[in-house]
Amino acid sequence: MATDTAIRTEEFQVNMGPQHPSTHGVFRMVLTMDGERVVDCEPHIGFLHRSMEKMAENRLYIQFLPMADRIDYLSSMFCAVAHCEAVEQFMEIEVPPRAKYLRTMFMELNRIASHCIFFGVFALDLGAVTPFLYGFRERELTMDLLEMTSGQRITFNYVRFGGVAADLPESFFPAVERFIKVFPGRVTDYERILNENEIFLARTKGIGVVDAARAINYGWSGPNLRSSGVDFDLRQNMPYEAYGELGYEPVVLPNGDCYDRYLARILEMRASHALIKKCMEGLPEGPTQKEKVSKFPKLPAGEVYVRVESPRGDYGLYLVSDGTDKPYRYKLRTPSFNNLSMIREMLRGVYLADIVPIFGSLDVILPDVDR
Amino acid sequence: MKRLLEILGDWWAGLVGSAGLPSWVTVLGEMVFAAILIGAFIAVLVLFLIWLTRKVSAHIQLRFGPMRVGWHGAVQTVADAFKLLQKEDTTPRVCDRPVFNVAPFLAFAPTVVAFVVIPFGDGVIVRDLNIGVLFLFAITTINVIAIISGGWASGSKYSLLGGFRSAAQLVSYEVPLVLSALGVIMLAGSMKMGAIVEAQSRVWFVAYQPLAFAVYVIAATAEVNRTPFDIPEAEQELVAGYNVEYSGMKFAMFFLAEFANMFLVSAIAATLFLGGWRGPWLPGELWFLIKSFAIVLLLMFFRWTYPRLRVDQLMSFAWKFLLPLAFVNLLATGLIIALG
Amino acid sequence: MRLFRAVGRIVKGTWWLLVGIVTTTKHLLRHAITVQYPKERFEQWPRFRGRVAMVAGDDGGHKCVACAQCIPVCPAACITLERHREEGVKGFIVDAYVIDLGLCIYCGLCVEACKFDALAMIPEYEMSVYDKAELVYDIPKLLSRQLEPEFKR
Repeated sequence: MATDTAIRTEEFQVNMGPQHPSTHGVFRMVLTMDGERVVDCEPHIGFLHRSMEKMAENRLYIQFLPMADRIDYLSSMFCAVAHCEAVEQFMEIEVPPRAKYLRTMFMELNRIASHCIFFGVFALDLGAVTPFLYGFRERELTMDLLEMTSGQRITFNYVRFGGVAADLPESFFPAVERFIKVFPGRVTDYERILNENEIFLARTKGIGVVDAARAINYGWSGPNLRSSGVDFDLRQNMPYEAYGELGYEPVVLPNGDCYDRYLARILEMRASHALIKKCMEGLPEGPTQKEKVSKFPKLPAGEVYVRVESPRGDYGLYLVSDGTDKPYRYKLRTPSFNNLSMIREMLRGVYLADIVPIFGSLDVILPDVDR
Repeated sequence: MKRLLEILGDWWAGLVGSAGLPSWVTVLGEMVFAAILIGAFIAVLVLFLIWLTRKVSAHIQLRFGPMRVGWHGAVQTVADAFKLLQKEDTTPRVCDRPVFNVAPFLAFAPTVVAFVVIPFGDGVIVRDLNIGVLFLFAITTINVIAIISGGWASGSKYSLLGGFRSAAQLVSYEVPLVLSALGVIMLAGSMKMGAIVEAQSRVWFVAYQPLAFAVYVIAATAEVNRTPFDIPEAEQELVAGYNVEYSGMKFAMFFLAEFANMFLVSAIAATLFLGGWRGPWLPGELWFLIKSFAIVLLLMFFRWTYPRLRVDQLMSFAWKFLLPLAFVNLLATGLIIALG
Repeated sequence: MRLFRAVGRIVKGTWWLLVGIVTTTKHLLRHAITVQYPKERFEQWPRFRGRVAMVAGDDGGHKCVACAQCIPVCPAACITLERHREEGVKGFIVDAYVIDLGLCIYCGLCVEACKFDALAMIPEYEMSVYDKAELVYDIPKLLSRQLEPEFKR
């Protein structure tokens, strides 16, 4: 960008993170700057590494169940469902339909909770403080629903091998009805504040553009991939739990810039809301837990790969068993890690101020990256 | 209020005259009195403004805001001020010490001085200079020097970046700001604040100059570093900007200056466009405060609703959009005055 | 034509900026959703997993039979059980049953594993202490607060 006529400027290095308010956890970027432009960015991950995979290999399957919630604490339900599904596939058991619906519904509630955080934090990254608190308000609604059923707000520990821990309490039904009624209006509020806001458009439209080919090459998944125009959603393409019966039409947007990545999540919130409504309408009667499922299963030797569409993308779990009651290998393919992998390439040549929305629009969460 | 001030002035002049002192003592005494009055006004005002900001932002965000200290947290700001006073005043080792120490006061002083020409009510003005508007804009520009020296003297690249950004922004937005005020001056035919208020005795200038008013409010938002133009302190990028190395009382000075400035630009807007202290039924001073606070609230709503612009967008917005708009407005005003 | 479009864009932009302000103003008039924490508190849901407690039996004592079912499920290994057998007595005698709540991750698996309803999660959540040793709960401490638990199994 520097030409002979331009003023020669000296490149300098700025350290961003790991304790920076908008790195969504602890992510460190060493930026080489030329004025306000980023020349290069060297990402450092691993500040939140808890060795989750190794911990899983040293624990019984049931013991790791509550810990799976902590792999990606904004979408705990998905990690737990993946863990249970893997074990269930080994044990070759079929989950009762009611449990399937409950899992699906709570996964969608959790997805809304996660996207609410995204909405709030993304707005905060752009300097608007108020939407952050609106996002958290709706998150509280979903958290309440999850808490009254599972007993916790973030680390639910609700899914069990062959079902779920408990049936819905009486208080759940009026609460979920209220949620279904109220939520679309709240999303409309979000849209009113940001969607057409000229400043917001100026900050996000055409920023951090990633085309479909590049997104696929880097292994992107989830809303990030779909906002680059790729129609791929595990809920539609490889239905698990009750998604096959419910049917799902993914949100696909063409441009692949920050604005589309934002919009994809707003639209997904509406889609998830519709799914929850469908779940509540079609909730089958019956048991929530399959009878006679061992608490301490000894899985046959073999391997299984389970994929779940988490709010961040394709959450994969590769589980190898050697016939004992502990996993031999517990490999996670976390979506945030792959989504983050392009950050260096994406940040080259952008303005300093654009780092934050680009990073924010990927909606990565560092515990998911570092595991 | 005017009567009260006149009585006070007469009494003081009589006192000085009977004591046989030279006449400059009268002026000096009046100025000291005015300084104390303005200082007290600013202190109370800033405390109130900070409380108001907190409350308004809290209620917009469905929170309560401060609730513990006093009625609905009314004295919270006083408590915070005392806390800041007690804090250790750290000075970075690599800083340019004299400049570092002077900068906060340099930020605060022009704001206080600018209040000299603000007409709070009928005749309630320290000095109705005949170049009042010019004086205002000249004196508030000194703020830039304070910010850039604060950023430079801190000896940290983050604060330096913040200072540079801030200086670029303030200098850019100064131009549309002054140009938008020019239309008003042309209509009033005077730079005297009193005369400008006088000229709006029938119709407020905002009716003649809606475009200029819009430009003024936008530019003023940028002048006081409020979202969507709060680039100098963009938390998400710079963490705090030029004042990142300051602590304790010096930080409080920057903070004080920021809020006093916010009221100042609102007061100028009220005087230039909304008829100043003029209004029916209520006393003039009250009208002035009502109008000023209406603008302050508007700025607050901007702050708590909008995201932030990027630096280059901010610049191109000032030079490619606001400035031409201000010129168009100026041209139209001139044509209308010349023709009609 | 370009001018027309530019003016249209300005009008549209201003309109949406105004819509934003209106939305925030609408919220200004709503009631706050937060509470003044130490003075008011949110009601906890009955299933809320606050901390582990022991359920008192009819005689006021604990119901633990020292079957040690809770120990293997605990992911944090925070439960310590000491037991011994005595001549002529069926089953085990509990010497000590200690849960270190500083290690506990509040998953509730021990409560599910307990076949004798001796454990329960109670909705107590303010447990910060100055000394970590205070978080080590022995039987009297675990029995100290009795609440009607809903979330047993």
